[in-house]
Amino acid sequence: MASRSPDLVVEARGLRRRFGADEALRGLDLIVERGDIYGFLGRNGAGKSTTIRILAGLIRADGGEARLLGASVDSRSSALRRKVGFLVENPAFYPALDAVENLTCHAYLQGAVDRAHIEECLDLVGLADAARRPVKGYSFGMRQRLGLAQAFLGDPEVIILDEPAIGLDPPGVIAVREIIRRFVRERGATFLISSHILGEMERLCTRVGIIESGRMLREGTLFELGATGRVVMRLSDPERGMSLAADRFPRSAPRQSADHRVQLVLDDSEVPGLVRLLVEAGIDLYEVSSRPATLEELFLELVDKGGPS
Amino acid sequence: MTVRTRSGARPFRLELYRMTRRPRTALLVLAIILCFKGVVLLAGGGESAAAGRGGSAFIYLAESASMTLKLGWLLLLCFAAASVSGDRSRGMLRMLLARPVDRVAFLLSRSASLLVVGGLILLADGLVGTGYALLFKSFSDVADPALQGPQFAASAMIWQVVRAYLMTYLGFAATLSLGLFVSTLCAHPTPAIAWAAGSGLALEGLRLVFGGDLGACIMTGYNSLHFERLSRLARGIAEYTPDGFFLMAAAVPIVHMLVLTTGAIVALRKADLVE
Repeated sequence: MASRSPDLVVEARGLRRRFGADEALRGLDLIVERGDIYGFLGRNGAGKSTTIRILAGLIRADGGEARLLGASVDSRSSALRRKVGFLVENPAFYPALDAVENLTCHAYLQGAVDRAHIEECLDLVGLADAARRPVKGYSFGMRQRLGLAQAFLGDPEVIILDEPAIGLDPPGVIAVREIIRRFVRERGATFLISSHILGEMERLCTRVGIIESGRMLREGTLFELGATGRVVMRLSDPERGMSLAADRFPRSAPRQSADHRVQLVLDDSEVPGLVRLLVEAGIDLYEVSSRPATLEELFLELVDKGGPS
Repeated sequence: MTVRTRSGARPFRLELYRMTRRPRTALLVLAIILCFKGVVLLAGGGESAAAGRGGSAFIYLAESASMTLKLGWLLLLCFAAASVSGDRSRGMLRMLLARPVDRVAFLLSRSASLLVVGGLILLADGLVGTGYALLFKSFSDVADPALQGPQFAASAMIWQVVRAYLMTYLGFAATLSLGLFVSTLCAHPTPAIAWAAGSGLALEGLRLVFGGDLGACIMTGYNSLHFERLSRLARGIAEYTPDGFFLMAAAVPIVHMLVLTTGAIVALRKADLVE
């Protein structure tokens, strides 16, 4: 067998999974390298949670291969699982127990109960003051933070989070972002984070993968994905300008914004050609600007419109 | 200080910790049993009016246990049925099983904690029943000349009482295996309890249809069987049953328990935790 790169922390090849007639994963490929904060993006039902549950050993794949730190997840090896922290969607806890007791339950399963480490994890997520309150009295955001704390137990090398910021208010979302950054800064770990809060992922992640209908559409750094920039123009005749641009640059997907500006998807190298085309056609240009695509724009292009290939 | 636990022992440590930290449910079950026992006690322990106050402690023990443990059996069945399915519906199961824990060890540890609850039910029943009997009844030799039945020494009867509790415990073990098996097949506790209680009552129906020892084999978890036999014995209207029969009878719930626990393990190992 060919040796695997030690830098491949999460590796999925041709992952398939079907639930009855519904094909949740259709040959998904996913690579997360050591040190990444990897944003796993996709709309509801795209296959994110199914992938994470396969990685967590909660369900089995029908086909393909999934590996964590070089070992197959099918082995359900205890040694492997001790190095991986999971936060499954909507974390649940024993309501009558307090945060310390709930984390102690998880620590028993992890194999080592260290009260100081449990308190450290609670402090990291900002729950030190509420550590002795029963979890049934916690708000949604506090439960989500407790879920993060249990994922951090045992200082795992890889942390896989399924929708860690879902349902949180803006301060809660910011708090989760800061917690993850703090953990990376203080402990150094690789993160795989599934989410559809795109703005948040853009701020947090070093690499992203966009999944749709169980397949990976695009994967790479934000720079790589945003290499095809956005050109915004203010024209004397926007309709004719859009028609000319669509004829010459078929993949530029021109559209008009609410303020009558025309927006196109173009490489920087194509911009002079477009300007020449419009000027020669007698259309006046009042403004031309270029900027990288936002993650939201990329996502919408790829997922909603089929996107540039 | 870090306390390390061996891989197979981890879920058992968790169950132990959970039971000591959150004994509410187990205490509730015990409270219900004790309340019911109190009602049975006030009503005369099911004992015939002729026996009255000051009558045979063995008849009282057998008949009151027979009534109380019917409820205990049903509670234990429902408790076991809600065990894994309850954790699954709350999302706890996927949280716990994403940890480095073997599913077989997890299920066996859950089974062990239920066995502790079953043991507590029997212990509570036995202690309260014996306490009351010691105060108000007589642990005398069994002798009923009017019925011309056989006679037994009190010491032999005490062993019969202990044996009835031990056999009932085995029946409880088979009962909770049934509950646990159903629990692993259901994603929510309500259908799990309905299925488990339905299965238990169906088995009881079969016992009534077949009767006798065949019925006893079908209905391994039916605790009252041994106490009904004990009651007849204490009244002098039944033959002394040799230990050999009980050894054979003990094999039945053990086989049921092994089969059902294996079924539960297979079901949990194959389960997709998508909830």
